[in-house]
Amino acid sequence: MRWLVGLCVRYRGAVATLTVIALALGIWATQSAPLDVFPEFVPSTVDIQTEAPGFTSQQVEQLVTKPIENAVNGATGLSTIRSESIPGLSVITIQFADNINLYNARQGIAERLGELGGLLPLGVGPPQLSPLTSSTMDLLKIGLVSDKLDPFALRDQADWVMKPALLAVPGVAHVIVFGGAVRQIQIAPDLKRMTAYGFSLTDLSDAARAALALRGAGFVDLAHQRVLIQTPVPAPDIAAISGAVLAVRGNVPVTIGDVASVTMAPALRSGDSLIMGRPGVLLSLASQYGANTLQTTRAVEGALTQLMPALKAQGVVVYPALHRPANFVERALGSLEQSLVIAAVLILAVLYLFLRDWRSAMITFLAIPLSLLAAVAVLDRMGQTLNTMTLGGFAVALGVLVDDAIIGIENTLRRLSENAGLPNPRPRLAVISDATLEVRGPVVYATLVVIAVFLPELFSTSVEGHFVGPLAMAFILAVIASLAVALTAAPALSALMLSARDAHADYRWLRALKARQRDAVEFVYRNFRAVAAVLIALTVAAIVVLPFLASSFMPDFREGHFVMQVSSSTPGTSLDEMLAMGKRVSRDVLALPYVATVEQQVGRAELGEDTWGPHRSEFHVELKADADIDQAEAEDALRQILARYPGLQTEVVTFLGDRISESLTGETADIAIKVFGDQLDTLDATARRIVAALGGTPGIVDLQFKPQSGTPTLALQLIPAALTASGLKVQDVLDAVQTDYAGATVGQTYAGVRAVNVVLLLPEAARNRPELLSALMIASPFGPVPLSQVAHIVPTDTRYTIEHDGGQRFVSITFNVKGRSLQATVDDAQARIAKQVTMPAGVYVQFTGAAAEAQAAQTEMLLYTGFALVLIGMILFICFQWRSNTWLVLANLPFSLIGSVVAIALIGGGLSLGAMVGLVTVFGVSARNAILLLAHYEHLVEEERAPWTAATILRGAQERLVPILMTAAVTALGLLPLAIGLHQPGQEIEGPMAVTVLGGLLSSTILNLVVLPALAERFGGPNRVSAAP
Amino acid sequence: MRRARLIAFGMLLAVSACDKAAPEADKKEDADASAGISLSADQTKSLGIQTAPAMAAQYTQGVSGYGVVTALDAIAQTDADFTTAAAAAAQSQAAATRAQGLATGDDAAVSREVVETAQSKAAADQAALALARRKADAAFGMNAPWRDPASRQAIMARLASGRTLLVRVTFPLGAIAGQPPQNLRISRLGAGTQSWTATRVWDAPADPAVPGRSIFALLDGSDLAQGERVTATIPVGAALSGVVVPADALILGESEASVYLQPKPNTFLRTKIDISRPMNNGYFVTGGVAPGQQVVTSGAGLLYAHEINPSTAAED
Repeated sequence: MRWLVGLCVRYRGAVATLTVIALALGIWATQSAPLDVFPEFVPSTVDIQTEAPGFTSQQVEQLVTKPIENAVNGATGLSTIRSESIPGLSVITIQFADNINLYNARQGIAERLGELGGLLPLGVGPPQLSPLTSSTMDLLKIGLVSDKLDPFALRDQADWVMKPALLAVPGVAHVIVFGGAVRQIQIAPDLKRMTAYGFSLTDLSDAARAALALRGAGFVDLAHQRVLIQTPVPAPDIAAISGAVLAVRGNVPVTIGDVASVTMAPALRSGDSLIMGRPGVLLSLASQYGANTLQTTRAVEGALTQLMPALKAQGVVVYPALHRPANFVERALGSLEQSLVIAAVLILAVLYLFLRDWRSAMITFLAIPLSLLAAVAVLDRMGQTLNTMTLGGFAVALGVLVDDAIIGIENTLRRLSENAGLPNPRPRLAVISDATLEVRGPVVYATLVVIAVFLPELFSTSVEGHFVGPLAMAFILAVIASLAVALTAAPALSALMLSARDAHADYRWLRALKARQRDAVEFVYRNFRAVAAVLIALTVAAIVVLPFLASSFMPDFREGHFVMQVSSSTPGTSLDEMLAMGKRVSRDVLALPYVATVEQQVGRAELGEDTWGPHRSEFHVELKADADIDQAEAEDALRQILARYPGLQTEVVTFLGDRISESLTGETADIAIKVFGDQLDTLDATARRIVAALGGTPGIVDLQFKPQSGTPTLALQLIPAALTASGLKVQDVLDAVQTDYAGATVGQTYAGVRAVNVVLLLPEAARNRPELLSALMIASPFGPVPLSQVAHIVPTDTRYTIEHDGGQRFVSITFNVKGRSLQATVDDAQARIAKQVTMPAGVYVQFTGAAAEAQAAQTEMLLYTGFALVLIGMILFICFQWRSNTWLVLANLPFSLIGSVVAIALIGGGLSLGAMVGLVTVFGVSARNAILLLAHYEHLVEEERAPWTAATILRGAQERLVPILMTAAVTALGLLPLAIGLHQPGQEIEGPMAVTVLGGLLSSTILNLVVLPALAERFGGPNRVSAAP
Repeated sequence: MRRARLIAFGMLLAVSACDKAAPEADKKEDADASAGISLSADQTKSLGIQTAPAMAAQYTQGVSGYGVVTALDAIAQTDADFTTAAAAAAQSQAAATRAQGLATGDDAAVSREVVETAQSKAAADQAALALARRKADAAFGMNAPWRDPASRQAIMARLASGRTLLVRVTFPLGAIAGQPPQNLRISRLGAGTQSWTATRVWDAPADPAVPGRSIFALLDGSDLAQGERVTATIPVGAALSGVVVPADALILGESEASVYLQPKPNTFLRTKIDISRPMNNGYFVTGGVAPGQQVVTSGAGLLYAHEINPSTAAED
């Protein structure tokens, strides 16, 4: 260390130049660093979607989901596996563990899917592995409506013009399109004619396929040329398909049009959308894993700007930001940026106030951006974004950064001043070098201690850990950089800029302050027992009160955007019914003066990530940017609107909250109670009893059990004897039913690059009358046979969804918590269930969601904190020559809690994520101050040979007054704008954190300056050396 | 002791009160169930509920089959074959009789051989006639009206002129039993509601290649063409009186079909209906819905959801 400091002082000009270069590089790195609102907080996830047309959810579960689950279970890097089986679709969601190579893991899943081979039934599509998407996934939602274009043309614009352009933007993972009408040429057989003429659906299908044949041709080789032969590509020509030959009867061709109507019709819908309460098309863009939200959004908007003139010319009204998560990023980072600028000005003022010299103030101040920029450059190299959490880490590191610089500069100034008074002053550079090294030892240990304090957050594996990990990483990098700056740039700049005349006598107010400190320390000496009793009582009270302060661990984010989950309370409700309801809800929501836009998406889009039936829908409500409304108030207003609609199950969540909850439980609510078991009916019954038991529990809102049973179904039960008598095979009947009701794609036509499917499907009027199913004529070798003759058609109820978690069946009850502590509410709920619900054999309940996650995170944090404490103890034992000092530092820590708890209580918060980080920060700063004070005592006694008396203790405390006060003041001022912006969007974590740190700083500073000297006098000192050499 | 008795008496009273309270609660729940769903005016408006009156209607159950107007050449050929055979048989029978007369007595004018030849010819022609009859029966059934010589000429003349058509109709197996129905209505395929009643109906010979029961019918006054495909309907039973509920009102759930009635403003009652009697725009029902009753045609899906699972968050 000595050689490094000596080198820097000697080559101070070079070091100063390198410092300027480092500053420039750091600024450049900051400019190019990707910005985001939060780190990747959701575990990396992929979906496996497998289409199984016409299969019921139970068939999908047995024949598709289970084999795929078995195939991928146990794959490398797999953390959790959840699945949903719905009619016609199996979706398996895989979450990967942290710190693995995601692309390799995804490849491993793909290989296992490849090995599935023939395990899946015929007719089931190949399993599709989704791309890796980012935490927040949603990038942008764009709405299209038009009075001029019909639903076909509007959808064409989305599918064939906008989607390719937007997908080409780097960072866009996929574009899902809802609504409008997908063009499809439908061949609707007239079953009476077909029967009367004796044609089967197979005849019709074969004729259509033949009419849409697409073949390549060869070429003609001339002597000197090769001439290609071009064959026609089937065009979406209704007349041509209608006129295609089906058969020849009595020398007369019978055409497809003779027995079927051929029309351009909308494809069967599994989802739809409303834009501002009007039928329209919704494009939902998702970002790739690791893509930067802000950059990608802006790039998409650039692409959209280019498309706008063409869209406008066609009469398309574009809503470009129905949901724009980048708004939150911009608002959050904007307010944080503003806070940091204000903080920088305040810090500079404080430095000047204390040091009374612009050069020393500038060196101290310069150390801050230098350390931060170095940390930014390293973070950037590590692939981290600059987000509210990493910036928060820098904010809490400010105190340490300033302290590092102040200690060195202040000591240098003092030693220069002392040196100037000597009869034979030593060389200035040697004094600077020694002064730097003199304080560096304790500073290194103090830095190691604060790093150890933040280690638990760095290693936490929970969702909260994903949030605070980058914060801890930013903090650790900043303090390491600061240490490096203190050992290199600071002495070099001091050598360049400082001299003995820069040391000034104390201000009058500082002298007065020292006098007050002396009085206070003496008061504590005299009344030690009483003061100790009061402090212990306050600390115990703080520890006891803390868990009872109402709060959720994860905050409610003020995004200016709400997601309203709105489902019919029973499956089977139609798309049209949900859209009709959506129009009325949209009208009510738009009547709120602070709502900018609203859109509704119902059901699912093809290859969308949601496995929703037509009975489920989601509204995205964007508030006006200048809306002067409290988020909670807006949320209540939305809840009140939904409360007017019977027959619905609703919840109102913020988008980020929704994503966090969904990643924890697969549900969007705070808490999901999962009821596991084999028998689905038993699970339903148990879930209903649990809902009854939880009704009226304080704090519980949005209590929901979404029953999956009750989907109206017409079950076909084939009659084997009747099949035999009619000469029919099972496949004949099933094929006919599938073709008529689900549609069979018989080919494609092409208009330029646009492909239009040709589908054989019963006409809507026949398809939508349930009684006509029994009259469906099946072509048998002996002639047409009505379906009712070979099958019983039984009206029944089936399940819409069958969910698995870890391969086991479950149903879930969900609720959100409002106005009460999450943990207390969950405890209450658990008690009620235990008391009122008897679990059937084989059925058990698991609480998942934010409370369980918070509990797990806190347990994990406690464990890591234990390890950190051991590490801190070891560092302290190495640091101090007097063993008692180690215990003094550790004993001093809990007292710093007092101010933090009071501050948390004052803002009406609780033990939230921000508060936890704040407490950790307070512990770190408090420990650092204690270490430096006690190390200073050791220095005075061991190096300067001062006697261990009350006067020496007071002297040491007074010499540490300025650095401690400066550190506290600078940290406080750095965090003050964050604390003031407590209710600003994006500061939901940093706000409480800043308030907690401010409260803790106040109490820990007073403790360090007033109480710790008294403690040291009583329990410390060289006379209590136990193992010193 | 007295205090203990008082306590025991008090407990008994409490228990009996509980016993009474439970059935009363059950009764109330039943009453609620029978009273249907009561919503506030706001909720009714939010659901977008619309109603339409059930219209009185009559319905006749029927079974349907498919058929074809038989080509005239087949009938003509059969008839020609039969007529030719009959003429030949009559002629040869007369010749034989005549020969027999001429050969009788001492002044026999023809030889025994001529008589035998004439008789042989007559027998052969009779056999040919019988064959032609069997062929005609095999093609058109044993009960074809033209088998009656009295009406044969007239029927054939009408058939030949096209004023009468012969239609062969096949009904699915088991759709009709016993005697062939006499009130058969024939409609042109896909031509709306125009139909004609058959004047004569009889069983067609079974065709092993066609499952079901085939029937021939004579049809007067239609403009159907030979070879044209038709549908046929046989009314079963007497006409029923009831109402038509709109198809939009239908709710399928709990393994049954039902509709919501609105007995009074903002009150809705789910009623099971039978959808086995479909009509063009709805279902003919005979019970549960009275003519003029208001049937929910819009918003029924969410009304049903509310009834089935009413404990939704929105209302908590």
